[in-house]
Amino acid sequence: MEALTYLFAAYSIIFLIIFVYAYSIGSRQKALWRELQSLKDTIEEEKQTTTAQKTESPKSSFAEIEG
Amino acid sequence: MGEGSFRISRVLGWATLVFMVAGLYAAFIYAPREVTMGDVQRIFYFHLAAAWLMMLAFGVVFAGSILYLVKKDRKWDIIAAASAEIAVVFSFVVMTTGPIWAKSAWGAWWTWDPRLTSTLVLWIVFIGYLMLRGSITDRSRRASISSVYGIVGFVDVPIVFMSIRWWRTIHPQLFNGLDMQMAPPMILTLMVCLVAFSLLYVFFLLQRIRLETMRDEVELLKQDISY
Repeated sequence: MEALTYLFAAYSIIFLIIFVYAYSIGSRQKALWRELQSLKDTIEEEKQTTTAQKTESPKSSFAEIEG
Repeated sequence: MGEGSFRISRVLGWATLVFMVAGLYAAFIYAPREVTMGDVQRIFYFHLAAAWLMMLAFGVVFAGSILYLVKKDRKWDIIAAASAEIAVVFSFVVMTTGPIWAKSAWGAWWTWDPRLTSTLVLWIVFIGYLMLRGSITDRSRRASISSVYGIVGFVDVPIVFMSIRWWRTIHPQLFNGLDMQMAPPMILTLMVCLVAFSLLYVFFLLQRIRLETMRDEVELLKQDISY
């Protein structure tokens, strides 16, 4: 009976470690993926703002001239 | 991660699962009960497979470190770092299942046996490797220093392997040259478990490489934003 307890303990530990490690890799990947997406969004927003400023600025200068 | 590598990971994951289940079946049902140690000997199949994975992973750290120093290509550093983490995790598996078997077979959880001591040293050395990587922020400096550390740390691997031949030890010696002192069903069980753990290693390695590549991408984007 004692031998079976040791056997059960050993295999439980092996699979516990494997699952915890797999979960740890998965959660780190998810966190990085979210960070990556938010950084890409920030860059995209910055690009759009810059483009908008560039297209808006000639209009305002014309408006100033006309004024 | 491309569609192709995603598919490879998926196939690898399923193959690992199939071999793990087959390994469990073989270890618990197919393999005969060992006469001297009884059922507790069944720990051996996964314990040895984990030890094989550990050695393989340390070997990849060694090869990756040398290749990084020679070629200065970041991908070799990524492979070495990924493999080192897996090696440390599976050293822990070996270090926990070993004492459980030892308690039943030798009557003690731990003895300062050459095999056990050299494995403990190897585990601590590579925990140091991971801590070193975490403490250096400059990417190329981190890669160079870790590569040198990885090569030096690997020196303990042959010592672990040869310890049961070089010194007097109570750890069982499975191989006597090419002769395996086991019944054929036991050898087949061991082979299935070795394949399962080899697949598990490749699966984890691919996932860890993906993680490291994403980390690099995040670092690069952060630099882009700050400029």
